[in-house]
Amino acid sequence: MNTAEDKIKTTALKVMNDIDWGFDTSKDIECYFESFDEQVEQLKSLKNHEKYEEILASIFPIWKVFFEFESDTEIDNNVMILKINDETSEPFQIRHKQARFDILKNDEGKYYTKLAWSQ
Amino acid sequence: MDDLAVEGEIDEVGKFRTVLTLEDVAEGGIKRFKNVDEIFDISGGRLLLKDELKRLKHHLWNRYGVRLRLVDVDQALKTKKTITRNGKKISKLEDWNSRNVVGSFREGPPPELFLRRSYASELTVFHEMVHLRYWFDKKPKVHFAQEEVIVFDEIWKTKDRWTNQELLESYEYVFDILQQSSLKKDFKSFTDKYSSEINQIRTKIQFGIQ
Repeated sequence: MNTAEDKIKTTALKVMNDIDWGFDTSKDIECYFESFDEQVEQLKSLKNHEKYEEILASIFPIWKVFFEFESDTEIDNNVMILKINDETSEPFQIRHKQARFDILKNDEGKYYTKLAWSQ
Repeated sequence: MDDLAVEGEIDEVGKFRTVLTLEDVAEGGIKRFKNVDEIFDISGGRLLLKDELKRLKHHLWNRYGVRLRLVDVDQALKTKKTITRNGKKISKLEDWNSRNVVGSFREGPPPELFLRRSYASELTVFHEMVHLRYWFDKKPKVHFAQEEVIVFDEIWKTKDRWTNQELLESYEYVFDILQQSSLKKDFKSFTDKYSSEINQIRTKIQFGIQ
């Protein structure tokens, strides 16, 4: 693990503020660290795939930060998940069950989203 | 005026045909119901766009007592500032637009299904209908991640209806929330069951093989 959980939470809060996505502040922010090895384990069925080495080269350890929707939004059965690269400490994706966005940063250091997939 | 007034036209054989918006065309995934019976069979729905929403509205009310509300049509949801975000008051539609929310079922009371008229994909309706039916059938309360597994199971049973991307995105959402939860057995069971086929789908997408 390269980035400490405290730093991940600080980065996550800056991202949520920059992109102006609300979340339920009465709930704890939950983080999950997904190691490189855990991801390799999930890819074991591809061990004999011709692109296996290429696939392995594309993965990196990830922090996943979970935010709940605010109660006044009345959005049930859904959570927001922000993903941060552990090696660079930079966020790269935010999603909920109906959409996935890339996280980008402008010249002023402010994060913004670009829709990558919509249900 | 009916808030589900349909934009459409009668084609050469007299069958109602919806007018596609630019959004529809851009999505490139336009499919149509063959008849109303097929729409609502078993798992809740196939595709709802324009006139199909009108049928869904009546079906939800008559069969489940659930009200369908269209976030981009319902005047209150469009304009009433009911949500506070970072000190600002915004409407439900503004909230949905900012985070690209496209559907939500609430048990209530009153039970309500929220969708968009301008963008109600087949998968969105299918997904929310599984939640709705789970509630309606009075199935036992489970952890929210377990209910998402139930939804994914239903999606997988009908996987021929969905694109590889839809299957992968649906899987990854459930994977993430199960992985973070304390439901370790559920996580193992879920990944043991699906990871191999999902990996095949993942590589197809990653390397442009469709």
